[in-house]
This record gives sequence, structure tokens and C-alpha cells, in this order.
Amino acid sequence: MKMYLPALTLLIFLASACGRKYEPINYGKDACAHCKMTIMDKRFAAEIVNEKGRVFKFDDITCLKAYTAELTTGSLLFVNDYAGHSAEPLDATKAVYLHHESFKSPMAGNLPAFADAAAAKALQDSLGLNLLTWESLP
Amino acid sequence: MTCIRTILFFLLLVPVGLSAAVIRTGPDSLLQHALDRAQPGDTILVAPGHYKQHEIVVRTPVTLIGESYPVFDGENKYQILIVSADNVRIQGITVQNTGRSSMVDMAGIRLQNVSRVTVSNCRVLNTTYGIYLQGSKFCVIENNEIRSSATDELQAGNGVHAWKSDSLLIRNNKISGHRDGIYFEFVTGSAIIGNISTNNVRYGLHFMFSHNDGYSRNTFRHNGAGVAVMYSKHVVMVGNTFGEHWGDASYGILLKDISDSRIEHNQFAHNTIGIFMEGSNRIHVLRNTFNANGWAMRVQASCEGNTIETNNFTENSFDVATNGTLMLNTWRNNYWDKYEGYDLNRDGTGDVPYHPVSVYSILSERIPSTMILYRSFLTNIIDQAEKIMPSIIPDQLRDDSPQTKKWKL
Repeated sequence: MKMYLPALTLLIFLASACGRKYEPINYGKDACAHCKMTIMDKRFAAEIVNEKGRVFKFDDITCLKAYTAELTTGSLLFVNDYAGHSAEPLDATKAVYLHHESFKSPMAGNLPAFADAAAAKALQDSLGLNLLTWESLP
Repeated sequence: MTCIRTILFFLLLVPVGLSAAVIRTGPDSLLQHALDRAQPGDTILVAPGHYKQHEIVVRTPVTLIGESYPVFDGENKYQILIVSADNVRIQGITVQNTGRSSMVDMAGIRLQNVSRVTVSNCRVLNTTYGIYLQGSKFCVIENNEIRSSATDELQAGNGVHAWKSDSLLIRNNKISGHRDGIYFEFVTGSAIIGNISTNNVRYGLHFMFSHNDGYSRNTFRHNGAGVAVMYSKHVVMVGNTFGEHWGDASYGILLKDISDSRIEHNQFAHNTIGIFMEGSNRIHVLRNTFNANGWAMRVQASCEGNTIETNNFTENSFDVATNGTLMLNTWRNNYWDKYEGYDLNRDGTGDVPYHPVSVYSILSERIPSTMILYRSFLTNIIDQAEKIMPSIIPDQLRDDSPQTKKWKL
């Protein structure tokens, strides 16, 4: 009987820890947490799940970047794969990025995300761009 | 006499020599050939019919006139008409079924770095982007019907899309079923007048980084949201109608980081939020009608220096909502139908101030689920108590001279 309370606490803790995951974006309905625009473009959409499990959705990686300034550590950051190869969103801190105005993202951030350098290669070469990482984002 | 005859001869000849040829073309010949042969100033008459021709490039200043709306079909694969010469006029043709691509913005009619081009009386049906202007100046887009059916399509483009352009006139078009009806990005000194923009997935009209523009006498109905004006300066919004924008992220006007603008003589009826303002400064909101909206206005605490005067607020669930206690905006001479004050000297101005933010609008801002108690007996008591002694509602947000009679606007 004495074991119940710690066990229960542990269980709730684990459950809440597991529960933190990407929540699918309802395109055309959900609004961007930063700029308030309706999220329409799958290629540039992004999401933050903070340490309490609260979900913030974004229509542009620039909006996500601007929002991270207001957050404490421990949040999960997701970005969509521009190339659309992986249906699952990418970890924003591990993804690679390009930056060029011809991408025309909703908030003119123009930062498409890719799973790795190989996925970005073709576009990177054709536009002659530098590969960016999460740390080097403008 | 000979001299006069010579002069007369030249007077007659010269205009004939300069006058443009009229070229006729039909579905059996390629329009591209006719365009390549044409001299500047020529007129090309396009016979009625179904043209399976695409990526037609106009490189000379000609007038292209369709007879009974000849149809140019992109067969869901291609772009249709690309204009890359100045002084081109396009009238009375139908372009339909452009391709869809995530890499290229497929357009029905594309104006590419040109000036003084007119597109009028055309039908643009089922296209990704209807009319696409890039780097163009002094262009007129008028009396067109731009229709698509992108009800839930994510790859959808905009009806009229303008990018890095200047001095455009977008007038009397009917636009529906696109992502944004009209989209302006880095566009300056332009006017949008008398358009009807309905049933677009995102916005009826959308400004991004576009300064010194104006839109007037337009109708926005049944879009995801009416108009979004973002990161722009000096935008004049006069005489428009905003209606039937319902939903979580739906507004009549969404203002985000706007300054030095004017919102005058507009009608906001049946919207979730009439005007939503965030980070917006020095905006003059006057002589508007707010009728039967969820919230007439939501003014976030990040706004300052705005003046809201001589408006009518009627039948709104909430007149005003805000998310802070600080209020650096001026509210005066508005008519509020929820005002219960008195006017002893009968000068038409109420003697006690009106607080447009109700307790419930504050509570639902903090705890959305409290809306379940809205219009219950309990809330009425709280409302009355709060009116006598304001404690929750921001005291600075008040209209010191509320009108007791509705403005005739």
C-alpha cells in the first residue's frame, strides 16, 4: 500500500513525459502562434511542444525562431521537411536549412528545412547557397 | 496647289502608315506565331474556340482581344500566358486549368517585369495563381472574373498575386476560391478598388511589407479571414464591407505591426472578430459600423497611439477585448448600444464614461472555458458590480464621451 503513491507519481510523470509529442497541424484552420496567420503551407510549417506539453504551431520557421526567444529550455522543436520525403516532422535543431527569397514562404522567412545535407543538395547546388544549421539561422 | 496637295497627301498617308495592323487568329493556328510576327501596336483578334496552347509569351507591345471569350487551356500541366513586354493590353479571353507545382508558381496570366500592361474583362478559371505580377509597374487589372475551387487545397495559390511591384490598380474584379483573393508582397503605391473577394481559403486580401497602399469599396465575404495587413505602413482602408468570417482565426481585419494607417467608413458584420490589432500604432479608426460580431475589436496591449472615434457598436457579443491592463489608445465619441448611462443636459453625449471591456471578455481571455457561463444570471450580477466599482476591467480603456444616439454613417 505504501508503494502506491510513489508508483502512481512515477506513472503520471512517465505518462506526461511520453505524452509530449508532435500534434498534427490542421492546415487551413490552425493559426500561427506568432503572426496569427492561418497555417496553409505544409512545406514551411513548424511546431513547438513546450515542457508542459503545450503545443504552439507556426506557419514559417522564422515565426518559430522568433518564438523560441520567449521559451524556457526543454521544449521540443519541430519543422516540416520541405522536400516532403519524410511524413514525420524533423527535429528543428538537427535539420539543415537553406535561405533564398525564391522559396517565398508565408512570412518571407524563406527558410526551407531538410532532413540532411543530401536532401538539400540539389536545391543548394542549383541556387548556389550555403547550408545552414539551427545555430546559424539568420 | 501642288504644295497643298502634297501636304494633304502626307497628312492622310502618315496616320495610315503608322496605324496598326489587325491580325486575326483561330484555334487552328498557333497564337505564338501571330504574336511573333506582330509589329508593336498591332491588334490581334482571337476567334472563339478552344485553344490547347500554353506558355504563350507576349514579347511585343500588342493588344490581344478575344471574341466571345476564347478558351486557352493549360490542361492542368502548364502556365498559359506570359507577358514580358510593356504596353500590352489583354481583353476578353478565358484562361483555365493551369498546372500545379510546388517549385514553380503556375499562373494563368503572368506579368513579368513590365509596365503599363492592362488585363481586363478576362475569365481566369481553375488556376493555381490567377494573375501574377512580378516586378511590374503601372499595371491595371480590372473587371476580371478569377475563380478557382481551392476549398481545402494546400497547394492553392492566390487570385491576384503581386510581388515587388509598384503603382498597380486592381479594380472591380470578382475573385473566389483561392488561397488569398489578392496578395501584395513588397508592393507600394497601389490601389485596390471595388473588388468582390469571397470564399477564399485564407484571406480576402493580404498585405505583407507593402507601404502606401489603399483599398476601398471592396466586399470581403466568407473567407478564412477578411483582410490581413501585416508589417506595412500608411495603408488607407475606406468604405469596405467585411462579413461572415467565422472561425478560430477569423477576423474582419487582422492588423499586425501596422502603423500610421486609417480605417474609415467600413462595415463589419457577422465576424468572429471585427478588427484584431497587435503591435499596431497610430491608427485612426473612425466612422465604422460594427454590427453583430463576436468581438467588435480586440486591441492587444502592444498597441499604442490609436484613436477610435465616432463608430457605431451594435449587437456585438463583446465590444472590446484586450489582454493587459495598460491602454495607451484613445476612445471617444462612439455609440455603444450597451451603454446604460444618462445624458442630463441632452447634448447627445453620455455623462458617465463607458467601459467597453466587459468582465466576461476579460475572463474568457484568461480562461476560455468560462464562456459556458456567458449570459447567465451570475454574470449579470458580476457585470453590474463591476460597472459600479471597476476592479478587473482595465480602467483606462474607456470612452469618456459615449454617444447616446447612433451615428448616421
